[in-house]
Amino acid sequence: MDVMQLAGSLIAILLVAYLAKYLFPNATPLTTERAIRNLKRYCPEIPDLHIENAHYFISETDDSAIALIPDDFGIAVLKQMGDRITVRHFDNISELSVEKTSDSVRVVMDDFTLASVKLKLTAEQIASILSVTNDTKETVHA
Amino acid sequence: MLDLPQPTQVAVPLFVAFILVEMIHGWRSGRIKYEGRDTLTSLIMGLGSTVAGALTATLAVGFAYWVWTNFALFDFGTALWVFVLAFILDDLAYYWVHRMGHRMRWMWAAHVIHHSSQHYNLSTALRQTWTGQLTPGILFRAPIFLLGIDPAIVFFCAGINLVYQFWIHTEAIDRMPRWFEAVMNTPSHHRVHHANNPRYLDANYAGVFMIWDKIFGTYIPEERSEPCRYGLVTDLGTFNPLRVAFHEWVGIFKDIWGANKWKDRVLFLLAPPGWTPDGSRMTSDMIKTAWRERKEASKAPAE
Repeated sequence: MDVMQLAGSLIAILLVAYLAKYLFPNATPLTTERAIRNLKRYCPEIPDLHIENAHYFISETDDSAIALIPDDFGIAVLKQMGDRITVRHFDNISELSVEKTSDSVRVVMDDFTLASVKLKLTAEQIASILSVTNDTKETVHA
Repeated sequence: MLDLPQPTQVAVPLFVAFILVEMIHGWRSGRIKYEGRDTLTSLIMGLGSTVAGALTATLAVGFAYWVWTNFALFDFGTALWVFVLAFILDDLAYYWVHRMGHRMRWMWAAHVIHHSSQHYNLSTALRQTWTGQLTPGILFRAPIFLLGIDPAIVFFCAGINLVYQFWIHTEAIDRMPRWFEAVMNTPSHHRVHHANNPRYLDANYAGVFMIWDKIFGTYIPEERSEPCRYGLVTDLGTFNPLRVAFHEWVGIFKDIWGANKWKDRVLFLLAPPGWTPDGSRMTSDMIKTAWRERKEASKAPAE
């Protein structure tokens, strides 16, 4: 494969991908309803009722979310990838860390393809998340 | 050495044309979905696979000719029937390479790339591995070289096999005629293979002839009552082609590095994806078992 062929292929790829983006715009935001649907799909071991009753924090950017699941079913992190959703579930909140910035939290995970997720939230929501994650960490370290 | 064309390279312009046709059909009908970044990643992976293949082809070709030159039992020559025989035997070898690509983590590390899209369209067909030559896959074709078929013929047939598999990566075609579905790999059969519904995991490994799955017990038909949902059991959280290409290799390396016993280190390579010494992750067998148990439990009458 020569350089010209490689360059031509790259241009063709960009054009086709742009056409895909143009013809199929991502119009569906990450809502609580979608989060519930995807959690049920990816975490079938969690009872449906617990997923429905989880506390959802949806980022103001509509592309990421955290679900605090009751009764020791842990925490789920959801990230919109294009028009689909990727889910990570942790039995124990101590498996991830939450960092606070001015108007958002950054959830950091030991995951090569989803190392962190940033959520833009209200101050109240940030405090709520931090209280849960910090409480858990203190419990773990105690 | 026989000088035969590379079918996949000849077919590339047709691949692009068919992707455009499917995309426009999907846009007009609303029945097929594309996504810009997903498509970009798939096509970049395809291009990268071609480059990686060109860089590492010497390994596979060298091995094949070494076996054929030194150990071939017969000289089959280059008659037309040899091409037909080579195509059938290569397809059988492909079945086992592909099956092991799902059942052995070392080979899965290369093959997972092809399954990493949550979409299923013709661009997914081009989402190919960059690291296939780093796996023992070529060993499954060794018996064909040992038998005495010229490796050039086998590689030519393998190329035709890959070209055939392009068109089955679509939701635009529901079912082919019954006789065709019975013998050949089709979009319906291959949708099942790409699905991550527990019911459909680890099934339909065939390349061209569906009979291999029926013979070796891995055939699962597509059920209208359960639409296929595509991707991995743990989907990727990135479109970065480098991370897509190498994520499972990184995972293997981390697991081997952190293992305490040599047995565990070996099993992190050779056991099915998801295997861990303490069972803390799920293999596809565990996922299927849990799914069956949930199904049984939901059927059981409430006390």
